Amino acid sequence: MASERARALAATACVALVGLVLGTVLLEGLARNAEAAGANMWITEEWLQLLDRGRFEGQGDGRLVLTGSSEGREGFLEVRMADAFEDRDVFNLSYSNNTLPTFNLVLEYLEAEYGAGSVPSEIVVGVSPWFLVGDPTLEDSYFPRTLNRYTPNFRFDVRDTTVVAKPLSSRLVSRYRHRAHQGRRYRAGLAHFALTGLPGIGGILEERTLLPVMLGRANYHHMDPMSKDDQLAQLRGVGRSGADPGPDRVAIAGQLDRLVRFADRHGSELYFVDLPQSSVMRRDYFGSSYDEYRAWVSGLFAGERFLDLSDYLTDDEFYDLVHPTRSGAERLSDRVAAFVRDR
Amino acid sequence: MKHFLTRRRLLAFAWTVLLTILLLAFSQSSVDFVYRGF
Repeated sequence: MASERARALAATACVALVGLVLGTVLLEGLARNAEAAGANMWITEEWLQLLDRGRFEGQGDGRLVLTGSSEGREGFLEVRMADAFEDRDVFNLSYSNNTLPTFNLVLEYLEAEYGAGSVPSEIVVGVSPWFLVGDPTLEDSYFPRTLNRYTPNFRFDVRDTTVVAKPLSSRLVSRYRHRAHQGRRYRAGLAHFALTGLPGIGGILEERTLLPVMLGRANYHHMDPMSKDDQLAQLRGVGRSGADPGPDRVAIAGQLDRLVRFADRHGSELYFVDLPQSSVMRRDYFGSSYDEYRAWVSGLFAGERFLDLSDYLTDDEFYDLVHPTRSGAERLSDRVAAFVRDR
Repeated sequence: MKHFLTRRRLLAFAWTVLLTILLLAFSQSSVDFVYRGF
């Protein structure tokens, strides 16, 4: 009798285990389906897209990567720009607080983790004062510290500014952490299914909910613009760096050289765009250091494909001091697409 | 087969699928960095 009961319980446990596997497979399938459709899976944690192997491995050929800090995330509309090109896979790889040294490490990470086939054919680098000056520094940035928690095989070595292999024990722990940190990606998969896989309901959800925002790239486009005076007061309280790097110019030129050499080695084309800043940011925050910055930048990129859009947008086209609104991003993206197309 | 798929097991199966989805997709996972303006 007892053994019969034990058998029944074991059978129920097996059925539950199959349910567990099926639930996981279902979520993973929905997430991959959304990724294949080009959805953003990691809104507000955009740096974690770097670990979505399926989005990089063997996909560099024909890919146009757009990068920059959060200005690039908000300003480069990859879907709109993809419409401007027939033969390119446009991918926005911008993330908060991106800097030139961080991006160099990201490219080297792509090569190490996913192979040379993941290195994009073309890269549009959206530069801005903090991106070039390197604020925040690699030591202070969340980026290497956070990514190192999850990367499967390699880690960002901040001290030696390189990418190095992880020891086996660390690989296992970080893989577990990454598997246990898929909530945002799985929610995006469910959101994509709700919008595209439910006839009749998808349209209503698209109009009345924020699900489309969740699957887009920009964090701020659905919000009303902020007061620039309040933003300026807040920024002055934080004390971030000015626009002129002073004696660090030599080191920054070295980082640029590192990027150019990497691109040359992989046959990748580079484009540089000085991203728009509001007049409040240029005149009231950066002040005279911005004039120094512009003179320095035009010399720094003299031998490169460079487009100066630093005052391309009006103040009404900014959500705050540096991030374009949706309409500002549309104008900016069209201009950048024309620049790449007409090179 | 009909004998194996009892009502109780079907319920256990459905609940496990649902709970797995809720747990993996909606449990509060830590966010490593939150960008707060400047």
